[in-house]
Amino acid sequence: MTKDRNVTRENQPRFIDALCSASITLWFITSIGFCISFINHETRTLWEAIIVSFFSLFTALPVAFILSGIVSLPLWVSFQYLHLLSHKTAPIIGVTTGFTLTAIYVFIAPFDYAGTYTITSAEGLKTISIASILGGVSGWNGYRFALNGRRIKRKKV
Amino acid sequence: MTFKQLLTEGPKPIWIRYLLILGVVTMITRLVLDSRFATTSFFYCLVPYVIGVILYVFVPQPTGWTKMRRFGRHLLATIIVMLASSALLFEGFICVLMAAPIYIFFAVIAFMFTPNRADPDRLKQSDVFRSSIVPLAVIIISVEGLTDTTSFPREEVITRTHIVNLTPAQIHANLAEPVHLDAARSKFLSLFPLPDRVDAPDFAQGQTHKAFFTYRRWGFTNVHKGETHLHIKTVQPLLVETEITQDTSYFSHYLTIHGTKIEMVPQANGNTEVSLTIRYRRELDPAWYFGPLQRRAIRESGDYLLREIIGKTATEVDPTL
Repeated sequence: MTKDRNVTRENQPRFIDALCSASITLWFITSIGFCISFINHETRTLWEAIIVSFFSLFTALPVAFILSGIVSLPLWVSFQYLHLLSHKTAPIIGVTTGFTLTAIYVFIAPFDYAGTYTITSAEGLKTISIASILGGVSGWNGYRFALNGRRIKRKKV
Repeated sequence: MTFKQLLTEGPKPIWIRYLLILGVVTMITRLVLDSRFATTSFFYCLVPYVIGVILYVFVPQPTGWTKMRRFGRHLLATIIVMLASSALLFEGFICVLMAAPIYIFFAVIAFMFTPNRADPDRLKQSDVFRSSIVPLAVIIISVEGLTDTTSFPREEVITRTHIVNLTPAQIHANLAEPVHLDAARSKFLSLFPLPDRVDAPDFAQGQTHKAFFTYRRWGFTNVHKGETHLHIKTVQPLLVETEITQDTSYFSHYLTIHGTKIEMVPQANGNTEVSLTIRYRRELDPAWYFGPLQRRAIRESGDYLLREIIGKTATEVDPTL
């Protein structure tokens, strides 16, 4: 049993590798979406969107990395302990992480900093839904990327 | 008795197990109904899902049954628990009828995507994925309505337009007559009790009309009495506006009607195009379920009022001609 568990763990990527890959995936998808939304913008240009996306790589990405790491680590360890960690269950960790972080933000942040929000708009619900989906995609891709990287490294060794 | 034995063996007979499950379900439902989440998706989506999971875990499924048979057993257990807990909580038939489809849907989802408990390979990774992604999706759906930022717009406006063979003066005369709601309604609207009595002394600006409702939740008993006060805000030759100033009727739990507006446009041939606009606020979530239901109810009510009150004893002109 112990030997099987060690063998299984060797075939899995490290948490930090998967987290890095997932964070970069998340940054990439959101940057593309951000740039697309600026294509026909009335006042902003696509070039400005590209510059902002580049700077967010050094500002927003580390914040997302740290917060996602804090939330997803217990889940990763639990799935690993139960021998359920795979490319099929990694999206679950991503969805849960995305949901948890945005739900905390939506329920705590006022969303109405200027005091002018007078109608319901479901912005919070949309934010939670999109963040959960993005988390799932990032989790899946991050795991897959890290696993392929580990396999390549082991083959070279 | 270990936990595993509790799940697979006892308590026996099965009706004791059902009673215990019913007790837990009723307590959960009562707790949520007494909280501020009673009208949100938390109650109409997540609670039925949790009840479905409880039934999946604690109601024994005989070994060797096909998935369809097990599904049938789960569905039967869901309906029994739903009806029994509604009776214990003194819920009315309208609440049960309107909430039953969404309740059953989420309770059944809890069963559909979980593996067979008797299957030795039930911890396959694909099953773990399906068993995990569904509760996450249900939790995301259940967030709707918890705060303003997680709610879809609640204010609704429905306008119905008929062309009637009456002049605006005759329409005003119809509005001034005593209200009799004897005409047959659609099957959907027939579920909702009409007022027992309408106190409308005069049709003039500043007057308040009162409608008294008696809702027998169980058909013959468990009575809820309420009234709706309709204030006549504006009475002009081609415009009548009203607003609801007080509403304690049974449907005030589901939606809040703000008021109505009747606009009349005389036609060249002596007919009048009458538009009835009803403004209301949806109180229940999720919007994708209760929104269409309430819009349909208000739409059919508007058509009924235009046909039987406003355009009464008129030969209605076919608007398509």
